[in-house]
This record gives sequence, C-alpha cells and structure tokens, in this order.
Amino acid sequence: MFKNKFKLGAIAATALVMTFSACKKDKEEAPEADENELITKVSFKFTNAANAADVATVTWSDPDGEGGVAPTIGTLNLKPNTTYNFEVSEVLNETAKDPDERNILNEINEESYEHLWVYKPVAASIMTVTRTDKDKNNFEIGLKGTAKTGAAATGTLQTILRHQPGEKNGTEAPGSSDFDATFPVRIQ
Amino acid sequence: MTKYLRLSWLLLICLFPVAVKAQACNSMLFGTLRDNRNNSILPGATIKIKELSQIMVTDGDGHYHFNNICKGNYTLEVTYVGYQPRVVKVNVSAQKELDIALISTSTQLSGVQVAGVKAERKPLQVTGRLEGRALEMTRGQSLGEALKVIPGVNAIQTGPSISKPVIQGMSGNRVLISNAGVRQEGQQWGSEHAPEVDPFIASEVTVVKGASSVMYGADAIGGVVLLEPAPLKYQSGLGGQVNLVGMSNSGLGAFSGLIEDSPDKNNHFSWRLQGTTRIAGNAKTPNYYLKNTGLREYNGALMLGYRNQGWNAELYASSFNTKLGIFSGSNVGSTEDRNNAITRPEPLEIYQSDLNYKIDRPYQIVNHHLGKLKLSKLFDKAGTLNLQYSYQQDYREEYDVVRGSSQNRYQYQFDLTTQVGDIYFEHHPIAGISGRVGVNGIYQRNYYEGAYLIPFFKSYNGAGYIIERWKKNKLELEGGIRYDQKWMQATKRIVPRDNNSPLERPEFNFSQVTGTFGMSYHLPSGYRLTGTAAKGWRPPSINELFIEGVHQGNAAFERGDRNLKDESSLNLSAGISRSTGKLTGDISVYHNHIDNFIYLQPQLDAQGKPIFEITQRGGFLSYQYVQVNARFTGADALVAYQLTPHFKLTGKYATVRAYNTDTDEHLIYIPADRYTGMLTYGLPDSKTFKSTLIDFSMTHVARQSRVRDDQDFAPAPAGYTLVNAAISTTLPVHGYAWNLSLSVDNLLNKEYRDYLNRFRYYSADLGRNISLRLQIPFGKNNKS
Repeated sequence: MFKNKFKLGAIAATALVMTFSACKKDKEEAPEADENELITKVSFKFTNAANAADVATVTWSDPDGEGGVAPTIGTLNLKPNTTYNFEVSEVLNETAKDPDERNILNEINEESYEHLWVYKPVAASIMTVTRTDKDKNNFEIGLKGTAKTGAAATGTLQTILRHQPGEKNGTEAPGSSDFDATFPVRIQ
Repeated sequence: MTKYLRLSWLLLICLFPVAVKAQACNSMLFGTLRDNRNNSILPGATIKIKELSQIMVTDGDGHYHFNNICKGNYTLEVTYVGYQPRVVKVNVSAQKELDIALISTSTQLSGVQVAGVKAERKPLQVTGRLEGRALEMTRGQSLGEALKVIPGVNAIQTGPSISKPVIQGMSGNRVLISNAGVRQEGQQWGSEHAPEVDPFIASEVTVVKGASSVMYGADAIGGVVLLEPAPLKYQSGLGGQVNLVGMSNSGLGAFSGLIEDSPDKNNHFSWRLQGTTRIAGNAKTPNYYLKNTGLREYNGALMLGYRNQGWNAELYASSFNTKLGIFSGSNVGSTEDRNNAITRPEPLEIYQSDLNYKIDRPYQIVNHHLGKLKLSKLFDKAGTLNLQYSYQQDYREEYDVVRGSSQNRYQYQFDLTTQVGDIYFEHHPIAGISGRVGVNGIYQRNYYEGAYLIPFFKSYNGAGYIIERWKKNKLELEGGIRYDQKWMQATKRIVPRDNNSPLERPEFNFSQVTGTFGMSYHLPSGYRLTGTAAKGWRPPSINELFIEGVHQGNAAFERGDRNLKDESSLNLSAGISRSTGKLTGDISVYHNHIDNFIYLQPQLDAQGKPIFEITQRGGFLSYQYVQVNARFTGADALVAYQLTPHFKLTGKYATVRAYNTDTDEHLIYIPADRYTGMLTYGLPDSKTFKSTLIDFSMTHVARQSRVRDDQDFAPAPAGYTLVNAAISTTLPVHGYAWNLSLSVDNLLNKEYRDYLNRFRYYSADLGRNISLRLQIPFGKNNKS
C-alpha cells in the first residue's frame, strides 16, 4: 500500500515539474564547435639569403584541435653556417566555417602591435634568430626575420606567439601564449 | 579611506569616556522557549526586555541569553509568529534562568487562525550558525567569504572575487546550498564558479556539517549551507531596512534595501521587496593592486504571501546578476607562462594597477533567476501538507583575452535550467514522534554555446523519504531513510571539437538508498550532546564524466571519465555544545569515509613522469578524474568564556586530515589548521550608544605541510597570522535602533598567500581592508 502511495506521489511530483517544462523547446543537437582562438596549422618558410631557390618549410598541424589526436610536428632541416630569411607563412584555424576566420595570419598582421613571435633555439649555438619587422609602435613583431645557422648539429627551435593586447613592450613577459611549439632542428 | 579612519577615531573618542563612567552590571538572564502543548523548542522567537530596549532572538535550540544586565525587575515581551504574545515579569538576581512557554494560536482558536511560518526544520546534526551581529559584520562580502567565521568552514578562492564554501574539507559539488528553501542548482564545473546567491537575502545562515542527503538529497555529502530569509510579516504597516556598506580595499560600495507590508486589514496578505547592489574596483594586496579584479552585482527578490484558514501560499522570485573581473596576471596561456608567473615574486608591473572599476577580459557574466511557489495546508488533527515547485535558470558567459575578431563574443556560455517539485507532509506528534514524509522530483537541462567544455545534458531525479524525530524529556532521537534515482543523458560529438564527428547520446542511471540516525541529549548543566551517523551520496557531475579541455587560469588539461560510479559516504560525528552560562560553545569531531571519491589526478607514465597533453600552446600537464576511497577526519571547536561582565574570550579551532586510503597519500586542496583567538569588550549602554562591542582577534593559519611539492604546481605557501579588529554599536535615532560598525581586516597589512586560493600562484592575498557598515530600520513595526 505504501509503495503505491509513494509511486503516486512521485508521479504527481514529476507531473508538477513536467507541466512547466513544456514551455522551452529542446535543443537536441550539439552546437557547432566554436573555438575562435583555435589554431590548427602553423608553417614557417626559411629561404637561403644567398640562393632564393633553397627553401625549407616546417609545419605544425593539429586538425582536430585540443585533445583527440596529438599534433604532427615537422623537422626543420637547414644548412650549416648559412643565413636564412624566414617568415611565418601560414597560421590557420581549419575548423572555422567563415573563411575570414580561417586565416589567422591576416589578423595577426593587422594586430601586429599586440603580437610578438619569440624564437628560442636549443642549444643556442645552432642558430641566431633576429626579428627584422617592426609594428606601428616600433616594437619588433617576428613575422619576418633572419636565422644564421652554426656548425652541423641537431637541436630544437621553440616558437612562441605572445598575445599582448595593450601590454606589448618589446619583451616576452606580458600577455599570454596563443601558440607554443617546439620543432626538432637538423643542421647538416 | 581617510574619511573612514577619521570616523573611526571619532567613534573611539566618543565611546571611551562612556565606558569609564558607566557602572558595572553583571547579571545574566537566560532560558529556553517552548510550545506549551508539545514542549517543542521555539527557535527564532523574539524576546525583548522592555526597560532596556534589548532584543534577543532565540537560537536553534530555543535558547535566549542576556548578558551584563543590572539586577532588578524587568518586563519581558515574548513574540513568535503563530503564537500568542506573552508578557512576563521577572526579578533578575546574579544569574536567573527562566523558561517560557508560549501558546500556539492555532490550538487556541482551533483553526480560525493559521499556524505560523516556523523556521525551516533542520536535521539533528552539528551545525554552525551565522545570525544577528555576526551576520551583520559580514555584510558586503560574498557568501564564501562570510562563512569563514564559522569554525570548520573555509573557502576555495579564485582571486579576490570568487570563493566557494568548503565544509570540513569538502567543497564544490559536495556542498549543497539551499537558498530560501530551494536547492541551488548552479554551474559547478570548476572552482572558479562561485555560488550565485545574494547573502543579503538571508536573515540567518546555517551550515549543517556532515552528510544530510536524507533531508536535502544528492550531493549533500560534505554539508549544506541554508540561507533563510526572515519569515514574511503579517502585521500592518509599511516598514523595512536599509543596509549600507563601504570597504576601503577595493573601494566596494554595497547597498541593500528591504521594504515590506501586510496591506489588507485582516492581514491575510503580505509582501516584501528586496534589492542589493555591490560594486567594487580592483582589490589591493599590501604592496600592489590586482588589475581587473572589480565586480558589479545587481540582485532583487520579491516575496508574496497569503494565509487564511490553515492555508498558506508563498511566491518567491529572485534574480542574481553579476559581472566579475578576473585578475589579468592570471591569464596564462601555456605551462611555461604559468611557471614564469609562479616564479615571479610579484606580478608584472603592468598587472599592478591602481584603484579603478574597469572590468576587461578575462571576465564572467552570471545570471541566476529563481521562482518558487509553495502551498501549505494545516490539517488540525493530522499535520501540514506542503507543495512546492521551483524553477531556476543559471546562465553564465565567460570571456577570455582574444584577438580582435572575437572581441564581441564570449568563449564559453552555459545555460542550466532546473525544476524541482516537492510534496511533503509534516505530521503532528504521534506517540511523541513527529516528522516529515515526502517525495521529490528534479528535471534539469543544460545547453552551451561557444567552445566545448561540457556537453548538453538532461536528467531526471526522483526521490522518496521519511524522517522522524522522537523526543522525551532530555533525549531526542532522529532517524530517516531516502531512496533516490537519477537518469541522465548527455548529447555530444564523439570528438567534441570536430564538427564532422558523429553525435552520441550516452545514458546513465544512478540510484542509492541513504539513511541517517542522530541523537541529542540535554545534560542538566546546560550542555547538549549530539551524535550522528549518516549516509550520503553523490552521482558524478557532468564535468567529472565529460570535461575535455584546458581550464582557464590553471593551464592544465582536464579529462572526464564516463565510467565513474556514484560516490557514497558514511559520516560519523559527535559534538558537545552549550549556549547558556559563562562558558558557551560547540566542539565536534567527525570521521567521513567516502567510497568512489572522485578527484582530479595528474597522469603519470610508467616511469612515474608526468604526462603532457600537446596542444597549440605547448604541453599541458594532463589530469584525469579518477575514483579512490577517501577518509576525512577532523575537529571543529568554538569556545567562549565570559571572563568578567565586560570581557569575553573566544577561541576557534578547525583541523581536518584527508587521505586517499588506496595510496595513503594526503588529498590536495584541503584546508590547513586554523586557530582564532578573540577578545570582546562589551561597553555598558549609554544614552547614545547601546550594545557596543569591541573585538580584537588574531587568526593563525598553519602551512598545509601535508602535501608533497610534486602534488601541485607550486609548493604550499607559508603559514600566516592576521590581526583583525572591529567595533559595533546601536544608536537610538528617533526610536529606531541604527546599527553601526567599523571593522579592519588584516590590520597590520601583512603580505601572505593562502593555500586554498588558486591565484596564490600569481599574487599575494589581500592587504588591509576597512569596512564601515550602517543598518537603518524604518516603519512603525521596526521601532525598538
């Protein structure tokens, strides 16, 4: 008997809830993934200053974003004791629906006064990186630069994109990292 | 700020001569208030000494206590909703104990009048209470901050503006908040999600320590925070109260106003309107301001009541709206960023701002709307039948620092709606046993927009329970049992960030039987012993099952586990308390065992090295929700002693040890031991200043030395000692009692970092804060 009464009560309580829950239309699908700060592909192009036909490209790629499959990271192959002009050639969010949002490089260009690329070779002797471009406040940007390689060796190059809205002062410290990848480097 | 200082000096200068002049009166009057028929205690009743205009409200045990009064004859006026007012003459000698019985109007007039709105019944358990002056002295603070004065209650903080209550070492989803009789359902996907409530609404805040799932449902493993508005007044005459608060540290200004009336001549109707705003700028540590830590909050509440012929209907609607800035220096994008920030002795200069009220990215916008309808009918012979329905929406937007094209968009948006239906019957005593039997249903939906953190979900929860109390003379026993069943379905893509990934709809079923048994015994000397054994449960929350991503300001990659089971706890606690006499206080010890305790564990590889999740921002330490068995053991104590008629010494202590019993490791983010010593000086009343109290207190928080350095991003900070001082008084102004207080926290402007503040990685904690509070009652019913 008690069980019946309990059931009746539970139904009544649920009915009370259901009466009011009908007003809002249910969304049944998951929303479009909207990761507007996502970067899925970054490429750097290194051109031999003495020979424009000698080009090395290195790419970082993670098409499914954070989590899922780990990113693919290319190796940078350069010649010893050579000067290269390099540029950031590609920054993409391939998941974005809007083509304007897909190309992030344009946006970094437009907001160069809020961005700073930082390059850290390990060991330091494998190459010397110099940023050659400046923003409207005369601070370096690092979308373009030169890299002067040392003797034959292997090491790594860490590339960091600092986002420093209203905070850029020419140093790495302010702001936060939007991109941070370490490429293996082979100089031979 | 200098203005406040000047005012405080003025107050001190005015008060001291009064203190010297007045004669010492050191008599005491105390006792218990009861129902004349069934002897049940009456908490929340008002007792006034007419000659002294002193007012006291009985505590949760029905006790009242007047200190430092002169010997002589007095008239006591006792009032309580639903009972006939009573006037008692009393002759007070050195110590006078006087128990008073009241006659219920419902028995008197056999149903013509209505049973009163009694204070919500609380389980027979160890509780901590914040009311009266103690509550007034926290006005302007957030709920998490305010509760820290109760021993055993702490707060997990994310910077100065976000704090979540911790009860006996347990926090987040294990602490339930009941706001005006409705279980608060907000977003609790992280420690940066603070409870969405306005503490100004409450006239009393009670913390039930330990599992109380039978009474309050799932999740109440660590305890329950009950925020209760004062009952509606069925008394003619427009009246209300205005609260004003100013704080020096962040330039906080708070205003809260309340107005109420019973407009019809039969007093069947009553209404109340309440509104609060809080605005604060950047908070300040002893040596620098924290950029972007301001807040703006706008809250309102409306209550409508009708009662007649045993019927009682109440409509409650409230809205909580806040915009919270998050410290700019905590905006770390990568592991390297975070480590650099931790290494710096103080934040970069650009994040050390000045006092301003500007809120930039990162910030949060949170709205919480609640509507509740409650109907009760008193049946003379049987008891009261209650029906309650509530609808609440919790809406949250989170804004990160982003590039220009996303400048007008949030990054995360969550929208959670919860509907709760309750039907319960409170029966009159049968053979000395009174209690409640009820059913409860919950329907919940969550949506999000923007970036993925947790999926859509819907859930149904049904429950039935019975809780009964038997009382004879000095002994009280309570027992209860409850059955809960929860069904939940999530909707997500298999790879959440990939728009081409197919949808999946995983379903979950959780159910559990919980129970409680408690006893309390009143010793003749005024001591009360309590003991409780309770089982609690908590199904895994949506983030524990499905979170996948990087939590902001934390730089850690979190992953849920959809195979988690529900938590189940056994809570044993014992306490001794005394609320009358020279020696008063509460001491309690507890032991909690939790099976399937869910927590976030750093992932290690076979060699014991941390695993990193590689993302566009480099490697993030990988964390996973896992289940272990856990044990929490601890003690809380509050002991006060009236040294002389003017001086009172209070000591507080709280300690908790929490272990992962599978590995015998200590759990992280558990409060360190905390000691408080306070000396209170009560000044005799003068014509201008009544009930004046001066407090001086020291709080020492030990270093949390029980975690290894490798269990956290940074080692636990050093212990610290803070000095606080406060003065409060009541000013009679045209027959009204204005309450005025001035308090200083961190008087010595000591620089420290607290283990439970997640932003201790990035900055020191707050420096000196001077608060000025004024409470002004109005309306003829509020004349003292």
